Amino acid sequence: MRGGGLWLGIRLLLLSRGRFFAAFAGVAVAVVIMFVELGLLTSILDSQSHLASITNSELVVLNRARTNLHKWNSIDAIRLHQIAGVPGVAKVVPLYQGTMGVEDPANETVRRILALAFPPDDSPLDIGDPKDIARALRTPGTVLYDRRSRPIFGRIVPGKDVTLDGTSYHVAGYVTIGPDVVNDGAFVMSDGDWLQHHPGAQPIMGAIRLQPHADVEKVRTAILASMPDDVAVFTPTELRNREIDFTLRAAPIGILFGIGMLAGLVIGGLTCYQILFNEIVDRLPQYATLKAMGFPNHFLRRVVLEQALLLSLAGFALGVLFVWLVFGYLARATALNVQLDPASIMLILALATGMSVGAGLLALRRVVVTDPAELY
Amino acid sequence: LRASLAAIGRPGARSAADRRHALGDALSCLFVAVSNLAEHKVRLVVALVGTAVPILLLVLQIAFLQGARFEVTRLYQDFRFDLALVPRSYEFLMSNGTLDRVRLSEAAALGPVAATYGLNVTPSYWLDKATQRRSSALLIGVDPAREFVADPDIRAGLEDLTSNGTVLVDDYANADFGNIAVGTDANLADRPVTVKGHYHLGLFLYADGSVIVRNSDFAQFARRDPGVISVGLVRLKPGSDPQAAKAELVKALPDDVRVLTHDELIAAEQGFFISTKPIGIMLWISMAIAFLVGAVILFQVLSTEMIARKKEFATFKAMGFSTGFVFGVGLLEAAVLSLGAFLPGLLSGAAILWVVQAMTHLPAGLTVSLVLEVLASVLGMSALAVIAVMRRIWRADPAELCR
Repeated sequence: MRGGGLWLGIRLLLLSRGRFFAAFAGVAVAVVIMFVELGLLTSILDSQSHLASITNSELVVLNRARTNLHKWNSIDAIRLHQIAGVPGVAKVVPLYQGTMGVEDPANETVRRILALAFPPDDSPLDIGDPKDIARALRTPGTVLYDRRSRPIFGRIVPGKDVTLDGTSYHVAGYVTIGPDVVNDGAFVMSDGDWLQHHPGAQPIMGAIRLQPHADVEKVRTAILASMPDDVAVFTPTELRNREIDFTLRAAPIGILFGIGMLAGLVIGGLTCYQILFNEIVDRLPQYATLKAMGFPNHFLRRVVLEQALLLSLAGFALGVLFVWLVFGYLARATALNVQLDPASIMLILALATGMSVGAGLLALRRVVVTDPAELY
Repeated sequence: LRASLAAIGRPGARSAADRRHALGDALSCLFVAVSNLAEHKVRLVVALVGTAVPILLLVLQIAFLQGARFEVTRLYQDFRFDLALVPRSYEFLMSNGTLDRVRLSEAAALGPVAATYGLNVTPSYWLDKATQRRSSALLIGVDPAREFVADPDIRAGLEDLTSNGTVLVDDYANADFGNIAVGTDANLADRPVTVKGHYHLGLFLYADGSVIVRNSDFAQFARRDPGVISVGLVRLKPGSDPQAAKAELVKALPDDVRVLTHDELIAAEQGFFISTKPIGIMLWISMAIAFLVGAVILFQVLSTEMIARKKEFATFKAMGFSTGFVFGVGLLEAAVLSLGAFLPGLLSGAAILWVVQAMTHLPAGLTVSLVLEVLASVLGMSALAVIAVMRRIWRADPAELCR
């Protein structure tokens, strides 16, 4: 009986070939719009919180007024030294951040680029092999270039020199950071080089490394207790979540793409619903016949369920294929991390099949509750 | 019947009786279409929702893209000029390059040029003293010549920028700018300033807010040579042809500057944002996908509607009604559905856009051109969908369809 039910579902779907393809394509584009809107929002949230994602220490300390990573409050370097004295803390690594003008070697056009600086021997960021980074940055006047920078800066290659804010630096190699919505690329240099050209600069963040076996929460409490209330201490994960929360709540681009995503999910869900509802309503006489022939309601429900699943899964597969192409293009064009992640795949699969099944079963209720003869 | 339909196709050759007849036919077409739709209420509602959804999608995505395109050129739109001088390396508003102010004097010496104006732009920082929050700010330097300023707030504010350290602040700046009431003290690029007035810009795509200072102060705040500017604006004498004047400027000025007309500058600015900046690319892709998705959903909804009525259409055909009549019924059904769904789709879109505007100040409102664009797209896509489906139904043998 099981095989027979599925066969019946397919036969009902294929009764009108043109209609089946319209429904199939409809579910597929519903899936596409959901994925695209969700994917764009996710990539923007990723991009905004990227610095927190690549921080490799147990805790970080920021100026309390720096309510999001795109505020520019620095933290007094003295605080980092004070925190280094708190029991449980092994050391605090300063991170300096700013923008510099980088000269295109070909035509002397100057473009803005992100600059990050830290002590060469202890990179607070996961952006490449720490040994290679240390070896390169120990030599004064040396920088590393982000290999994922957007290709707008001209030919910047290891072994050559590059002019940053009017000073020539030697490019010793690459790091891997990736651009974000605001910055198109990045250079990394030693804190010594940074301070030489920015006298009096203060770090934007301190990466707190703990002693082995120190308890993160206890150390955090000890730090906060011993410092004035101008600092805030987070784990990198907390910092990332705070940034995502801020972007969604208060940053205009987060709001813009957040609303786009909500609209995409609602529109996609409604479309799946609309398609399955019509699919079943238009076959009500067939279902009524089955009922009159004595097939029980749960059999009818199973046929509807199978149709809904078949249509939504087939549409989903086609949609994902298309989205994969679109995301490939977007990732290349924006150099952002636009990808099909498992969480969004699960969410959209659940939405597409859920709405389809729900619509099908709702439409079938008329058969289940009414007298078959009335439906003719 | 055939004769009357033929008459519709030949407007010049119609008699009064023919016209009445044709009108009667069109009305009965509409009557059949509406009765078809109204036959099954739930189905009608589902079809209306199905049609409203792509309309909503198009409204939102077109408005977002239009809003962003408008926003990235908003600063230029606040000024009145015919030609712009930009450094050779210019890419967009936030480019680093500068040009020598001497180029303005050189341009001013040419025949068609009435006046010139220097505009400066650079990224900077704003510090709210109360919360000690340090936000990114776009620092804008302006010349005092009022006739170049189109925006009434900025023009009025220019009068108040009297002494060193007085600024106008963007009312659409991020809340982290803190209290920006007139008279408030704050820090701009680590120098004390006093707020003297406001204007509305809201360039959130580039910074948290913006601040206007006089060009005589700009050099200090930006730590830049006072002899250079970011963009030079040129007004021509009345009656001059911008293209001819542009050619004259290009010939007279050295090649470290490029000359663009007002419209070329706006188009280049928008083009750069859409093709190169990630947000622009994303908004453009979103709109392209919205068109594709909208077209497929409309096709799906309408083809389901047509196929469900194929018995009725077959009956018409069997009864000898003309092709025009039956296609007319289909097209009118699609038109009634699209128009019926248009208002709810538009209104829900307008409500969402209102929220977006209130939260982000993105100028993404419902404009007449947007409404017409969406209406034309939807009616066009619907007509194509109906014709595609009806042709298949029409080709079939009536007897087969009634089986």
